[in-house]
Amino acid sequence: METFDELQTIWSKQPNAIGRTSAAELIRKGEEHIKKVRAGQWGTIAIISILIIVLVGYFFGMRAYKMNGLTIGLTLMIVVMIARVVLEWMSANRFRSIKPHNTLAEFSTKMQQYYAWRKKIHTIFIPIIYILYVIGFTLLLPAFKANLSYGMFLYCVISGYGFLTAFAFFMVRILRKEMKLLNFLKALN
Amino acid sequence: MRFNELFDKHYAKVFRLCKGYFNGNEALASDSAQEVFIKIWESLDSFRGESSISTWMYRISVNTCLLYLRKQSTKKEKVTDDFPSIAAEQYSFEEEEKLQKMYGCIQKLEEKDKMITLMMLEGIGYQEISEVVGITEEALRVRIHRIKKNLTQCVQHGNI
Repeated sequence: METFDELQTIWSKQPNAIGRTSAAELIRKGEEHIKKVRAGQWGTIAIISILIIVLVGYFFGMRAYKMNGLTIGLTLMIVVMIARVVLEWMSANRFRSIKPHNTLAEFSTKMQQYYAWRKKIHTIFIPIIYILYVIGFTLLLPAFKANLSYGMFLYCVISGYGFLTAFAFFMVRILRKEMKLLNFLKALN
Repeated sequence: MRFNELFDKHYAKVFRLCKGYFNGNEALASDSAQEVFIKIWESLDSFRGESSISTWMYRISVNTCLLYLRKQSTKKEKVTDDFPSIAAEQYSFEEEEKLQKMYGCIQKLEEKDKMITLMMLEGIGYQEISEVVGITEEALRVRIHRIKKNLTQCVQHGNI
């Protein structure tokens, strides 16, 4: 009859890691990671700032107070893009607040709550944002048709709707992956 | 305690814990153990001494390994079934066979039980395991009793 202690002895006789890394190497990787995270945060802030400047600049610089399709369409697209970036920024902050040194029970509960919030984003907010973005883009088309050559107009229509279709598939893929993770965490708790 | 000391003292245990979780896959174990230590390095300043440093480290290890594969791209999602051959001088044929069986049996356990088993095999004490997992020591003892029985039975007969 095998005992657990015998199994433990066999386990502990395993050789150590092959091609082991060093503390210095990991510190270097850690520093790179921090730089990347900071660059990402500043990148997000830069994107939001540029979009707001474009929006405000457009309204006041172009004196575009009259409500035509182009103005409404552009405004809609810019506003929903900002909303999208803000949602991602909120998600990233929420994710960072989950500390990996929590107990397994706390960690898995917090991760479950995080992915439940992501589910809400993917199933409620993103579809609304997506629909408003499609409406905004569609409102631009008459202005494109009036001001661009037929070939260029066709290019805008195909590339615009093509991008939106590809984006929808991409979002569905992310949703599926995150829901799989949420189900795993639910099973864990 | 400085990062270098923590690394030297605990890397092998963290690596084996991750290796056990990933069914003996050394590449995954190495990558995830590195991620564990990067997190440790990043959070070391925030360690307040509310638990022992090793408990704090094992919490990071367990939580990182748990979600490591699930957050990677689909290419890495499948854990290989190919068990790496172990240096012959370390083990007899019989022991190597048992070790392979152990890896297989650990994979059959529930996620929490998998982590508890791996920490037990590393010789971590009950109190520390209960602080890592977040359950009472009493509940842990009941769980461990069942795990030990299931694991030894699985290694002998191949089923849990």
